[in-house]
Amino acid sequence: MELIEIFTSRVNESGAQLHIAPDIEEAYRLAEELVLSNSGDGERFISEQEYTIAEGIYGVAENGGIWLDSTSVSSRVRPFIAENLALIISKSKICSNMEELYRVVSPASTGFGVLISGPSKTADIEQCLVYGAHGAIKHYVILY
Amino acid sequence: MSKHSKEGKKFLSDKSKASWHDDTLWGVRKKRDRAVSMIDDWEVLRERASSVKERVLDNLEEYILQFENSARNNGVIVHRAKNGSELNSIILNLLKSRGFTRVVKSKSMLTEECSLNHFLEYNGIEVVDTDLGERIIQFRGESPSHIVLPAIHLKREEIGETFHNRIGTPAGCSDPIQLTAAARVHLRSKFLNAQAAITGVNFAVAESGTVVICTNEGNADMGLNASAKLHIHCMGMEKIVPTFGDLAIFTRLLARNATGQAITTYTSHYTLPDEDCEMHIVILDNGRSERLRNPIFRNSLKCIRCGACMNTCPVYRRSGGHSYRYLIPGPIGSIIAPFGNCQNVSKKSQNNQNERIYSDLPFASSLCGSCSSVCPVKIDIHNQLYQWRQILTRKKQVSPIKRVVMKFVGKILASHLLYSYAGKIARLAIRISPRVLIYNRLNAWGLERELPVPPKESFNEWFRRTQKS
Ligand code: SF4
Repeated sequence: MELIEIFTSRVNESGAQLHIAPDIEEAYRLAEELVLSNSGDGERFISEQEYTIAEGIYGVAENGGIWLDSTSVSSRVRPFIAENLALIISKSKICSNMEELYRVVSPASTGFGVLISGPSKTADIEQCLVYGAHGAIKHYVILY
Repeated sequence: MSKHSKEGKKFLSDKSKASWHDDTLWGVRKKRDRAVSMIDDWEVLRERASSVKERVLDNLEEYILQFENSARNNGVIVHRAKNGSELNSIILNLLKSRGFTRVVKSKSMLTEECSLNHFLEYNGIEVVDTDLGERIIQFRGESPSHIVLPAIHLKREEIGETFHNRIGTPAGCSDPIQLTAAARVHLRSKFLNAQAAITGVNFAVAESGTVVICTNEGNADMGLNASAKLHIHCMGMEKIVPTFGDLAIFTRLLARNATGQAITTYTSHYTLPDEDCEMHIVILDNGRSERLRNPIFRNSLKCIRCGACMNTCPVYRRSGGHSYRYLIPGPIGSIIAPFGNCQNVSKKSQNNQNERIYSDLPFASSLCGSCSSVCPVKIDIHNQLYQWRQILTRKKQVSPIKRVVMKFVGKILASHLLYSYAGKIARLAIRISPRVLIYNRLNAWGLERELPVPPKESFNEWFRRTQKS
């Protein structure tokens, strides 16, 4: 249980929005609701209304990151190009740190893997933190 | 006055900007301390990171061969480049033979080292740096002033003006959110039309042939995956880590030490080429083998480019990255710069040349050791700077006045009698001399320093007196 607590606080620190769902069906429903309800928000940036929902393979408590590989998304660009990104992850799939992650996911086997922690960010202008430099502007994590 | 001091003085002439720079980087250092304190076994982790790097450097060629083999088995084409011009022509040939002219680039420190941009542009290729900070300085024709925060020397108004001129943001707009939004639109069109993507590499895993790229913006991943069919990863030969177990140490350390985040937003692992895409890796030497053979400075190859030694350095914070005049500024840059890896110069003259050009940098340090204490891979940075001072002085690369004075001071410090006598004189002289004697235009030392008020007696004198009573 402690792992889950650490994970959720790191997720919040990463700039992501955390939601809890009772089961996977509800998690998907919630994910869809979130990415669609907010897709208008991106107008400030660009008119495209794209979003991606994906199921994470493992989450890492120590940094709030979620591991995706080639099997999680239809193409590699999906998690990066979407304005709104929702990642669904099971409470039973949280490991403690990177060492454990690489042991449980076989990181090279599908050819591509990425650990994502929060929305795309930059602080290149006077160290002001801005979300949505290139990738997701809104990043949701749905834990079930 | 040394070149660094002169440039530093220019930097300090804008007082409010200089103090903003100092405070902001110190703020990053404090964030780093917080992030580090969240890991119980931080010191153990640092020790492990250091020993992995040592092991890699001890067996570098073997690990590179293992990495090459693994990557080739994955269907990746691996190239080796001895120097910058080789890397540049490998890349140009790849682009030309496919008729590609539109390139997006990310994590550009290594390709900057080779002046790839100029070379490709000269050959009719459009190269777009896609990291926001790197794009800003590319627009301005500047070089990065920090390895992690390339545009830290600029204020928002300056960036607003650049964007107004280059991508048509409204005049006078300097709001970071609006400027970032405009850059997003501008760069997205570049990503979606790119034919080739060039990236740097944070780590290369020998056991699997995987390249690992860490960014907060996601620009490397957008570049590789949005449209480009030719993917070229450029890495220095020292980027190898043996296994994923070893990699874990570094992905735990890097972002905490660099920006105080638990991890970068994206930690991407590329092993196999994507469908319909070609994946190439260029491994660059460019003077690294030579540094590897140097027993004193070899350790500097352990660097994972986190930038922490810059953020913590009292000299860097108050003189700005450009005062170092070298691609990598700050403490670690001052070690690498005198080695240099300029291209198109014969090896021997090149080295001497770099030692001459950058001979002031190892002296641009207070030797306080703060750099070494924050370095995640335990490079003895301040000691290497000290070693450079010895070498450069022996090679007569420092000013003749400094050499004579140092010789004289050396004699005094070596003799007990002379030392206590000189101390007496100095304590008296500093108290009674008019300021103009020290703080005049002829004495560069006085321009850069303020003397403390001298005590009335030395420690020895005080000890003897208090012992008696
Ligand atoms: S020398 Fe150490 S502290 Fe400086 S950038 Fe390299 S790894 Fe970081």
